[in-house]
Amino acid sequence: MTSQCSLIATVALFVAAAIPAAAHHSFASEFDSNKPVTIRGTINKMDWVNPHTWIYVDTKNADGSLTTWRFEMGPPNALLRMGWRKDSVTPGTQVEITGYRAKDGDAVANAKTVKLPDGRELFASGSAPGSGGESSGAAEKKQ
Amino acid sequence: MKTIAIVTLAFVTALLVDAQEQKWVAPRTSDDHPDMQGAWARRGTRIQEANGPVSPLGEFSNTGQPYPTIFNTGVATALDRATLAAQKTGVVDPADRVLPWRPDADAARREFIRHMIPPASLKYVEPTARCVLPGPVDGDDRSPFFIVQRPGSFVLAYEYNHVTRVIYTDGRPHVGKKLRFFMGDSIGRWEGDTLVVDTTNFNDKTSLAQTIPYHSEELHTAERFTRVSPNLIEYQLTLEDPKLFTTPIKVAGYFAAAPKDTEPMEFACVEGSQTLPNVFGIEFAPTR
Amino acid sequence: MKAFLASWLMFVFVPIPLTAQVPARLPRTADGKPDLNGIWQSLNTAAWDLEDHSGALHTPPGQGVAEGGEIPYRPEAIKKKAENFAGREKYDLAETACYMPGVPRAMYMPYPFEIILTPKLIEMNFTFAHARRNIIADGTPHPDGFPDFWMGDSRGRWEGDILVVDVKNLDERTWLDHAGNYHSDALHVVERYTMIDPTHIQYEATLEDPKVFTRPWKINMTLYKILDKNAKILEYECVYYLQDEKYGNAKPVVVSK
Repeated sequence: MTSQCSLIATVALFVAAAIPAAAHHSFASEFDSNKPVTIRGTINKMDWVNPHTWIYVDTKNADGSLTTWRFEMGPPNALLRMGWRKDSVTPGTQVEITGYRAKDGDAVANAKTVKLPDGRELFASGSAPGSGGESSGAAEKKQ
Repeated sequence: MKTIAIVTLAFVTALLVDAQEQKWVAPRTSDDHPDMQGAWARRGTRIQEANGPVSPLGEFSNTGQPYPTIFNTGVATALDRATLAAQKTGVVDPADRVLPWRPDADAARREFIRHMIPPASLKYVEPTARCVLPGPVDGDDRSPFFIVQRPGSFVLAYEYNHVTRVIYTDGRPHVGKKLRFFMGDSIGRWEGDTLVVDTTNFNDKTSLAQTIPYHSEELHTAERFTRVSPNLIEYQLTLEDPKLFTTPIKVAGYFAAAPKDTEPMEFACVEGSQTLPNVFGIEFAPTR
Repeated sequence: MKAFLASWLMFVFVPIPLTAQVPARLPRTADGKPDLNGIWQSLNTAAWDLEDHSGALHTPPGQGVAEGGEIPYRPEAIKKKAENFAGREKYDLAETACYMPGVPRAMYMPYPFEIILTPKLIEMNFTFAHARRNIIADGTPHPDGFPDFWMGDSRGRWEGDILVVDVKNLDERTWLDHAGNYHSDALHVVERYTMIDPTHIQYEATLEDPKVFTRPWKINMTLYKILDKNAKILEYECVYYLQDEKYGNAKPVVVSK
């Protein structure tokens, strides 16, 4: 196991230069690339509704009111292989999410990055609870 | 003494050299073909052409991916950087990637692409965004592929959209000409240790690339799968479509071994697709 | 005396049907399991209705496949089933949207499917919606904390010559048939595939769902092997045709410049 982990730790991940549009979406028809959003708030819950994972984030508005944003993410398979499970995201976790807003203007967006307050990416490899030091599905970042 | 030392050294060196040059031999299946079974990451089989039009579909390749990066890192592999860099990928023939378009077909697809974002009507919506079967080239390579072999057939099971290509190698012919499929009709044969797959009977409803939004029913492909090492299957795809191109084009790629414990998982597609409801403002599946 | 003996011997040596005495010799895989590889199909009308049903508009008649005849719904669940039935032409997602039909419904949709059998992985490839079941047979259990899947999470094992498949994580949006028979996300299905001769599998599934049913119950049917030469699973990409029908003449919300 150790040797396999260290072998994978030296892996190069070659990603094709132009990655096609996300699998079952025409991103450009649902979300507006001219409307990037960054939301800071706390995680309310995560919904796993195959083939989507949704993350709900409560954010305080300037006037003190609360808006719950709904962020759409991709199919759960990648998360599951990293060791994430249905209950592993703790409600109340502070996050900063960037994404692109839905064209119809609701508090809905397509998530691009999900960061913890210390800058680490929430769904990066090795960050799943219980995944230990090196997760078996570790992949190096795109060049 | 010196002679003995030199001879011993020469002998040991010869052994080591011999061991290094010994070609790796794939394990065999029960019907004596190379065993390529397991979980794999397909890489590199993308048609990127020189002098192609700018596709509006590709606008996010520079500005970042719409999903969190975890969904875009694809399947990890055990291949090292040097091996990956050495693999041929993408269009390899023509070598300059200037595709041999028929002028009328080239003009037609450039005009067509202009109407894809936003789509002018249903036919301009990217086929994979409708979650239909992806055709001979497309498919989400961020998900693994699984190869299963039985005597008489070679199965390439995509995790993406649960596409399952059952390629019979029992000598049967193609199905009748009137039958038309998104994935075509594939039959396979072994040429030594290479699986050669011939595919015909395509319909004209899939896309070959972001800059090649459609093809004709005359599309005919040949694929070659050769397992060259424990962690690598070399792959080559030849496409010919006389309605598009004056000569066939060749695309190279590879399948890299995914982590050993990779299990196939369901990747539902149409069950979550919001593309058409968003484009047309009409719900597809009723919700209560 | 001779006649008596002769008649006695006749009782002893009357030929008895082979199926009652000697089990059929089954084709076997390299690792000794009954060879379930091939293309199979059920030949009943369970996809329309698991219970007894007379002929009706667009509904061929059939004797039910549920043992005991009636599905043992909880009292409050019977109402929901009736609502489903009334709204079936709209809310049966498999038929109206070509969504994957779930388990066990995929096993009795009226189209062929292929069983691809290997020692640690069994794939089932269905004509309908090109649905696929990945049945993991390497001894691993259902993972904890997995979300629901349209075709569930299936773990298989052999009990002698019987393939037993345990299915959990079934998405509650699938129905058990077109008549609105349904389940919750607590559904647990245990299937038993018994190859009774080279071209027949006896398929039995036990369904357990304490949120919907008062007790576990079983369905039972025969799966028939397709023997036609060069049979293969063809594409029935119903989602494409439904999309064409719904959106073919529609105008996009955002119009091109």
